[in-house]
Amino acid sequence: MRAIEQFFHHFGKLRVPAAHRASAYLQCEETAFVRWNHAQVRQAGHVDQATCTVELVFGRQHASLEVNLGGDAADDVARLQWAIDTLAETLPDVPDDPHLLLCDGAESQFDLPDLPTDPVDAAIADIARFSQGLDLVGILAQGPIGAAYADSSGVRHAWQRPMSLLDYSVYAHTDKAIKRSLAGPTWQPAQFAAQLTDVRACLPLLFVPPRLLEPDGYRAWLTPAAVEALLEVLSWTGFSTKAHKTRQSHLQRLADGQGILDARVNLVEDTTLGVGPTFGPTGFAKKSVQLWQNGRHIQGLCGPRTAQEYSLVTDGAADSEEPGSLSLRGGALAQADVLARLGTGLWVDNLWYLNFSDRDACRITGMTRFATLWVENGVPVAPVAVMRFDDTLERMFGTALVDLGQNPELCVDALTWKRRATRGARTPGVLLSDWTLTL
Amino acid sequence: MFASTLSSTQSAAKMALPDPLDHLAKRAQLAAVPCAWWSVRGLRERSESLVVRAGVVEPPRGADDFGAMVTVLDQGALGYAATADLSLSGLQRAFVQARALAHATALCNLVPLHAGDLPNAVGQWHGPAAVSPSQLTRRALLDRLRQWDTALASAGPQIVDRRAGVTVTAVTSVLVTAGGGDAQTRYHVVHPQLEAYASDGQTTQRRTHMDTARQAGLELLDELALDLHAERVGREAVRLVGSANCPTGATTLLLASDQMMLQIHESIGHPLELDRILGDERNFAGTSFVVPEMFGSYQYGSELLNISFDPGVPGELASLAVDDFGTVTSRQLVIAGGILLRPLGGQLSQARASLPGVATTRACSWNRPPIDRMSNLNLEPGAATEAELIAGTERGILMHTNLSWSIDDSRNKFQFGCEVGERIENGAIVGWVRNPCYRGISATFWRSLNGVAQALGIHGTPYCGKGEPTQIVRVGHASPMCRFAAVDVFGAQSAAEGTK
Repeated sequence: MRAIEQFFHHFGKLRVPAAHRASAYLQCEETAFVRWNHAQVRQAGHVDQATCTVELVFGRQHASLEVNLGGDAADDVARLQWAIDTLAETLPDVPDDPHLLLCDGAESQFDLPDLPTDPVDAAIADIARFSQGLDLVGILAQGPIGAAYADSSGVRHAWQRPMSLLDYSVYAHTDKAIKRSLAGPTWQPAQFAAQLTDVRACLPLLFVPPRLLEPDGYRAWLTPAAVEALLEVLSWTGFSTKAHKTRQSHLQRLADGQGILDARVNLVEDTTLGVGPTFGPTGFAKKSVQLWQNGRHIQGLCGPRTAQEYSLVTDGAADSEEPGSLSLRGGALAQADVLARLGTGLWVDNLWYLNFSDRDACRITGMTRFATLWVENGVPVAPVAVMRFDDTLERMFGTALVDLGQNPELCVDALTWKRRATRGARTPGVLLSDWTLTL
Repeated sequence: MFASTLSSTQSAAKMALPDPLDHLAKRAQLAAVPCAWWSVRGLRERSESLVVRAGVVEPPRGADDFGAMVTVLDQGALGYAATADLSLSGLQRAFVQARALAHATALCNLVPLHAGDLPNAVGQWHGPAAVSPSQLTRRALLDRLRQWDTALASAGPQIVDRRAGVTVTAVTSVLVTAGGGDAQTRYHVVHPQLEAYASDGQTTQRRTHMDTARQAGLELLDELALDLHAERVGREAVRLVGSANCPTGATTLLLASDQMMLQIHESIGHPLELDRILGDERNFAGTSFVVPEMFGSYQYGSELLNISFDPGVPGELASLAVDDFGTVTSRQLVIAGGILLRPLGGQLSQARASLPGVATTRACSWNRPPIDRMSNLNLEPGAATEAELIAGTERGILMHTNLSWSIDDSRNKFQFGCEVGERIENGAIVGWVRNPCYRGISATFWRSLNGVAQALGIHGTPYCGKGEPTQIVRVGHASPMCRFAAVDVFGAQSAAEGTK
C-alpha cells in the first residue's frame, strides 16, 4: 500500500531530540463500503485513511500522539515532526513510568503480499444481479488494509492484505433470516452465487410459524458463528493476565484453578491464523499462546506493561490483552452427523448481544438470532421465536458439552468501529445436552 | 493538551501547523465536480486522555483526528468519499471518487433522490466551556487525578485495582453544501471516569462513576464534585463485596437516573430509530418491534411516560444545531402521556417512511456517512421527590449504575444488571445487595411505570454503536429516578456455587 511505502520514508526523515527514542505505528485502509438493504444499495462510499500513533520516550518518561496522514509527502512529514516536537514539550510534565517496557532489538518482520486490482463495481453488479428476488441486507467492505511499525532502535514491521468481505443476511420476514459472510483476498462471485443457492433452499423453512419455547433447558447445537460470539464476549477481559492478577477477569475461577472445563476443550491464541498483523503498537512480535489445555487454564495473554508490572515475559499482546485470533480445537462430531446427534432440540445459527449476568461465575446471557431452528428427530421443522439464554461457561464447555464439531471454521470479524477489524477466530460448533433458556 | 487544549508547562510548540479546516468551504467550492448536488463535511477532534491507575500515571495519549467526507448526488444516487487530504487536489480526488460510486450504484439504488430532497442548512452551535482546557496545565490535572486515585484506595486492602481518568476533546466541524448550506460546530467534551474493584478472594465487585460525559469545560470536574465521589466509589466497592446477593422474584423496581440512562437508550431510543424500522440495520444492529402503524396511537408506556428529543440542552452530550445530514434540529416530544408520537429519524428517513421525525442523522466521524441516531433523548421530570418514591414503596429494589446489558435484535426482550442494589421494605432502604439484575420486555415494561421523580440527572456516553460500517457516537440522556411495578429481579449465583 502506498501509505506503508511512504511511512518508512517519512519516519527516516524525522528529527528526534537527542537521547530520546521515537516509534510510530501506522494503520491504514483503502476501502469501498457498500451498504445494502432490500437487495439494493443504501449507501456507497470510499474511505482512504492512514492513522499514525507516534510515541516519544525519554528515560522512563513517555507519551503518544495519534495523527492522520493524508498522502501528501511534505504535509505528512510536517505532521509527524509536529507530533514529535509536541511530545518532546509534553514529557517534562510526565513522571517516570515504572511499567514501561520497550521492544528494542526485536526482529523485524515484513508480510507484504501483492495487492490485486479488485474494482468494486463488479462486486456491486454481481450482488445486485444474484440477489434479485431476495431481501438481502448487509455490507460489502473491499480494498486493502495494512499496518506498519518503525522505531529509533531500527525495528521495522509491515503487514498488508487485500480483502473483500461481504457480511449479509437474507430475510424471510420480520426477524427471520439466514446470515452468511464471504471473505477472501478478492471478490468471489462464484462462491457468492453458491451461497445464495443454499440460502434459497433454506428460506422456506423460515416461513413456517415460529415455535414458541418455554424457559427451560434444551439440547442444542451452536454453530461455529454462535460459538465465536461466546469466544468474543469471553475475550473482553477473560484472557488478560492483568485482569487475572487484579481479580477482574470473568475467567477468574479457571485462572485460580477452581473451575475446570471438559478435557476436550483446547484454546489457543493462534497468531498464524493470518487475520491480522503479528505485531502491534508497541512493536513486540505477537506470539501464539496456549490459553486452555485439556479443559484447564494454562496462561493468559501478557502485554508489555503487565510483563513489566508483574515481572513476567510478554507475548506481545496489546495493552488490552484481548485475543485477536483465537483457535478452538475441533472434536469428533462430523458435520454430516450433527442433526442426527442433536435429535430433538435447537439449531442455533447465531447469538446476539452477549454479556455477563454473573461475572464471578462466568455466567453469560444473550439472545438467539437469525436462523434458530427447532429440530425434531434430526429434522429441522420450524424457526424459533427469539429466546434469551443464561448459562455458565463451566456448563457450556464443561458438564453440558456433548461434543465439538470436527471441522473448525474461520470467522472473520466484520466490525469497522474506527477502521476495518483485523481479527477473527477459528472455531467448531458445539453440541450441548442442556442449554438454559430464561425468557 | 497536545493538540491545543491542556497546557504544557513548557513553551508552546515551536512549529504550529495550519488548521486543516481553515477555508475548507472555499476549497470545497473549487473542487466540486459537475453533479446534481454535493456536500463537504469536515471534522477535527483533538483529544488527550490522562489516567492514573493504582498509583501510577499512565502515559498521556493524545490524538489530532481530522478529515472530510465529500458526498455527491448524481444520476439520482448518493456516493461518498472520505479523505484526510484536505488540500484542493485531495478534495478533487474525493469528489471524483464519490461521483464514480454514485454512478456505479445508480441502477441498484434503494433511495432515488433529487437535489430538492437534500438540505442546505445554515446554523451554528457553540458548546459551553466556562473553564477552557487551555487554562489548566497537564501537571495540575495529573495532580488532581492522583488525589482521586488515593481517595479510591482509601477504602482499604480489599481494593485490588483502581483507575482515575479524564479525557478532554475539542470538536470543530464544518458542513457546506452546493445550495449554500453552511453549518459550524464547536465544543469541548469532558469525560471524567472513576473506577474501583474490590475483592475478598471469592467475589470481585466493580463500582464506577463513569457516564458523566458532557459538552463542557473543566469546570465540570467541580460541578460533578468528583473529589467527593472518588472516596465514595472506593468505599462502595468494598461495601458491595460484603453485601448479600440480590434476591429473586417479581417486585417493585426503582431505577436511579444513571441506570435510567441505559433503560431509555436500549428500550426506547434504539427501537424508535427510523432506519431500523426501515430495515437498514437488520444485518447488524437489528430491527425493531415498533412498526410505522404504531405512531400516533400506540401506548408505549403509562401516562407518566414523556420522552423528548432535545438537541438544545446546554451541556448535554449530543446537543447540536444542525445534524450531519444538514437539517436544522429542534426539540420534539417523541412520547407524550405514554403515546408514541414520532420516530427518531432524519429528513431522508422521514421521506422514505412518510412519517414525521426529528433531525438526528449523525456520523461518528469524517470517515463515516450519517445515519439515524438518538442524540439527546430525555425522560421528562415528574412530580414526586426521590424520597417520596422510596417512601411509597412497600417492598422493592433500587438499582444504580449499569453493569451488564443485553437486548434482542427487535429491542424487546432485555436483561440488565447494575452495580448496586438497595433493598426497600416498608418505604425505607434497609440494606444493600450485590449483582442486582432485572429482565423484561420493552413492549410491556414501560406500561408498569408508576412513579417519576422531579430531580433530573444528566448523563452522557460516547459509546452508542450501530451502523454498517459500524459507528460509535456520543449520546446524552437526562432522566429522573423512576419506579416500575412487578418486575422480575434476580441476583447472581455465588462463585462458590460454581455451576448451575
